[in-house]
Amino acid sequence: MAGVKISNLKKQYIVDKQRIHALKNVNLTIPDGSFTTIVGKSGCGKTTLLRLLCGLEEPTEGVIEFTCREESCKEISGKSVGIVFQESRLMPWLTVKENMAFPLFKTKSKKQADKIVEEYLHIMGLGKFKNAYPSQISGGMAQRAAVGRTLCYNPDIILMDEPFAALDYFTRNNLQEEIVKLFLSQGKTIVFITHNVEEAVYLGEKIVVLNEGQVIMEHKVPLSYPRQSNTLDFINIKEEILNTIIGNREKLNA
Amino acid sequence: MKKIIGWVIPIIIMLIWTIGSALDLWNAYIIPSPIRVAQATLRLIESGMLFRHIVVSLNRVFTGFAVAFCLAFPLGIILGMKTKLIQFFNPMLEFIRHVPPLATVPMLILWFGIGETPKIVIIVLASFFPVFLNTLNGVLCCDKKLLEVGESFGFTSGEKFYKIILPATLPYIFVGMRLGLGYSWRALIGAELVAASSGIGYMILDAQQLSRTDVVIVGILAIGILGSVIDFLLLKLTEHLITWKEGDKQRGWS
Repeated sequence: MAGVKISNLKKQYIVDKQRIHALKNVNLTIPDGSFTTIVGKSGCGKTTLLRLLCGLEEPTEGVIEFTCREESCKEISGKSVGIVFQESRLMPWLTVKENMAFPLFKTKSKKQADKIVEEYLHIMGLGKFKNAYPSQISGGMAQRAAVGRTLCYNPDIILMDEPFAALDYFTRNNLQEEIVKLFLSQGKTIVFITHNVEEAVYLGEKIVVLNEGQVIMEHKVPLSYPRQSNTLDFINIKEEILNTIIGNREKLNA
Repeated sequence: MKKIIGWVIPIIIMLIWTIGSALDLWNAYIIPSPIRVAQATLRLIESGMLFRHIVVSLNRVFTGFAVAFCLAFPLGIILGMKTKLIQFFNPMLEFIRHVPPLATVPMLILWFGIGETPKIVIIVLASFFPVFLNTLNGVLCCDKKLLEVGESFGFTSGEKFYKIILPATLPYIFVGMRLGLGYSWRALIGAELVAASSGIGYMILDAQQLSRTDVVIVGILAIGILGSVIDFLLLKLTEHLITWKEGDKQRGWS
């Protein structure tokens, strides 16, 4: 198990000779075994933060430290981080089963990989479709396969970049429930990015609100799983976060 | 039904050819009748001449194409992966691409004599660019998002090549191979102009000098049929190896 400590993180891009500050001095602690949702409107730096966390980009300034629960584990490598992207990003030439085994060829024998994949095919409800190609399954199934692929990789930290954004209401609800079940059963550290405040409250133990590349709010959700979106506490938390985002936007506009 | 539609035009041409020849609508020297062509074919088969010429031509086409592939495939991969090198090679390759292989015949005879080498070189020049450009295009078009998946799982450059770039490029490579083989057949007649004493191209030129238009047509038909059969076999191999393209056509549960 592992957590993340982010200190003074900055990321700048040069676009048309102009300096764009995607992240401005972000400080954040993600405890190990926690479920953190990062919420904010488009362009607030959510995806940039996730790409920095999984090493797909280098920060301009600042430090990202991975911390371990076990004392014997002093440092964990980037390989302990797995990411589920907004799109399933399955390899079109591999079947669902082969896609889920995709990250295992380096560390596991074929027999071991098959055993792990079979287990997650069952968990993700994809047993019947294991020999189908990505073009033959629905978007929801493909996204489940992508989640399954990351789970097969067995990382200490799972990063999810709006994985359900393109899915329909019912598929999204099903997958949200499955993610909560997986979190409760496996206790992985999950960082989940979304622009949907309701989804953030439904999933996260802690909600981090990002705006204009800065953390403007950290909110602990004192609700037990599984959560009901029609309860008063749920609605209050959702309203509070929405007001923070809207209030901050009005303040910036003013 | 689709297969039958493809035969409609050849059948119409055959009918016009047969009826026109029977009614003496044109000079039998300019367009010999189908019966004369069939008789010439039978004679060439019985004497073993047609088979001998075909074997020689096939040998030249496959040797030339194999050499072209061995040069074009690695160069396409290297330039696709190291895009900075494209600028270095581009002017020279563009220059060679626009020079018709037959224009080099006099120089090739001077350099390589009148043996097999200049004939093979002409086929190499003709089939190099379809394979090279398609391979290069395949590598350049490889989805960067898929490469990021490999990167997020800690793949090395070599692993990304074998597990992502190469499979993603395969359809492009096969298209290049099909085009390259087609170009090889086209270049064959030119190659067999170079002091040849065997091969389908030689057979056609020899028949032209002897005013045997029926044999010329046998040669043209032999090249067309052989080219089509080889293309068909390559297409079947492509379908066998790239099953996920087949999957695209048979969308199942989406």
